[in-house]
Amino acid sequence: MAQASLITQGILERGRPEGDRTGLGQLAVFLLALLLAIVMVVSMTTGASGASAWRVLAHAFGFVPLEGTEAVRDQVVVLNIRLPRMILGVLIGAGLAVSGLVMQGLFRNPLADPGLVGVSSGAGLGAVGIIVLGTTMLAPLTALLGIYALQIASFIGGLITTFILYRVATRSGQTAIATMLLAGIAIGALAGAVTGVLVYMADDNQLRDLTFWGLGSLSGSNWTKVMSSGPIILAALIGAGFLAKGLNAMTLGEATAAHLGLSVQPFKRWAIVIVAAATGASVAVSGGIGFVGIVVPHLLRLVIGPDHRYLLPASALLGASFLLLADAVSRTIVAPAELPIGIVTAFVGGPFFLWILLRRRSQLAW
Amino acid sequence: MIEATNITVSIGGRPILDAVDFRARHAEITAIVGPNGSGKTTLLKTLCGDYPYAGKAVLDGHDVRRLPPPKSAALRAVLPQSTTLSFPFTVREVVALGLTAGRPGVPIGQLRRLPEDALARVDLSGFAGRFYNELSGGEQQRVQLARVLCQVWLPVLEGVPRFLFLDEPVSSLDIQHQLLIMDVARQFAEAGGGVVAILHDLNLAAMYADSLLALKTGRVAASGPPASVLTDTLIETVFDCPIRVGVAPQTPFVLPQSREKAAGRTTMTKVA
Repeated sequence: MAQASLITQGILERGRPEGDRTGLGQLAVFLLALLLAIVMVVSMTTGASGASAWRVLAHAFGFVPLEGTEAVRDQVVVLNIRLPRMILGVLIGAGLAVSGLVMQGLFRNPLADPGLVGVSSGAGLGAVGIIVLGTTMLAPLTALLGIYALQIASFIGGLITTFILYRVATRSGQTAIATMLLAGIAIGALAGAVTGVLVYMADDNQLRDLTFWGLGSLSGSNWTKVMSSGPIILAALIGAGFLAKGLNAMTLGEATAAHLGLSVQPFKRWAIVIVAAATGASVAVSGGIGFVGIVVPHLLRLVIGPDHRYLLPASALLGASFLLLADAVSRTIVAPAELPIGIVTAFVGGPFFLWILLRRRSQLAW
Repeated sequence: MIEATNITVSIGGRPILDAVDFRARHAEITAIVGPNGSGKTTLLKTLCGDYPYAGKAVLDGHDVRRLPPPKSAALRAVLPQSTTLSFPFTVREVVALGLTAGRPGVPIGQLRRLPEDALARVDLSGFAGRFYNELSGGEQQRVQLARVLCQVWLPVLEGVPRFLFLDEPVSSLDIQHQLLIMDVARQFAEAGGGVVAILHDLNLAAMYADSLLALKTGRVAASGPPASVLTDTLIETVFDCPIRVGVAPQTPFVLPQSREKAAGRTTMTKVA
């Protein structure tokens, strides 16, 4: 890692003081924005139906008349299926990557991830609770919250699990890696058990909803989901931008971060709320999609270093591209059927996670 | 000016500091000495606002309890005993973290070069591009000092003197760098800032400090100028070790070789 970034540094950082990697960070953000733009176009123009996004675009600008049932169908496919799916893919990918990054900074631990330590399970419990009990026990709540009920329930589930995890795994500002992972397993198992009881109580219709939701997929994307989850994830992403300096300071430990001028308690509260909001709103739409929050920040840290001022936007951009690409694979690899996207990310993320463990094992004995 | 009166701190139900009075003036080095576990670090951290305490602690006219972190960061910088990083920053990036919320007090043009200037001050020029985690303990300690210096680069800003809190700043350094770092502290004080340092080396304390505070089991055993604090009786009561204090020109010195043979004492006790 040292070599890779030092070589790129030599090429890119002429005229900057030695050890200053801000130029590298800025370049990475620029290139990743470009990559996302390309991936977004690819995502809009490919699909099982063969509808042409270009023709729909041309019509929208008045170049081509909308004629024939095929053209109408294409417009429906592109505007009501592909577009919301692409938007959700971008937001959820960015949200998951940023949640992972913020958790890693908060726990001072490169292996933290909402999926891995039970936060997604907690958010899932909230979502399942609404699906199963939303018409009976929790009916007043669903009536009150409307289309946001699922999102808010997931958010609360994620918030509670993150909070418990932080209290259990952190002592005087230090998080023991083993404690955190084991506490995550315990919390995840507990949330899973309660979820299991709820699933047992569910009727046939609810079971169908649960199955679709739980596969971890963007396939049910529509404008309602964009409108309900989108603003929450977007707000969390913008909020995360304000955490960058604090996350950098936290690298030195909680006490030193405070001595550097960070108001640590409010900072931690905001970080937890942001993680829970982004994870909750993502889980509400797509179920659990694992490993994005581990793979993306880790790869970027190897290349541009751990400065969160660049790591945050870069993670959001790469997370979005990564999830859109994974979605493209999940749509096409077994076409006309679809593979749940969580399976695709797990195929990439599982081995990657093992690789991180093996690398670190040789460096540090923990 | 730091004025703490009647400071009492308990951590986890265990009393650590008991009615400690402490005073540190600007333009001076104030050293805190005492055996392991006597409460030196706890006192320093209490002055930083890290622990809840009973009593009164005032930093430059502000009650430490009510001083928000961004404000206190401009009034004092803190060097911890040791710092591990959770992510691989370069030396320059670590030093630049000192600029997070502190007020170095230098113009923008110099601000860019401040990490380099600070590294030169601690004799680490040319280390900027190295990874912090790959340095030796003593080098890491000096990188952290460079970061701390960045935070309060000008010892006096807008007429307000600022403080350096140093927790064992020379504990893992060779003799050359021990003197160098103590000289940095000296310069900071001579320029009008205040320095509070925990030191285990009584000779360095005697040589550099204007004022000493000796702690034993959470209480003040003595305080005042080195020559009045470092006496045979005090060393024996505070450190449980009968050592004679010698007098070099101007400063007292403490040699472990001067330990008197006492009944039942077989282990070598090292002071330095």
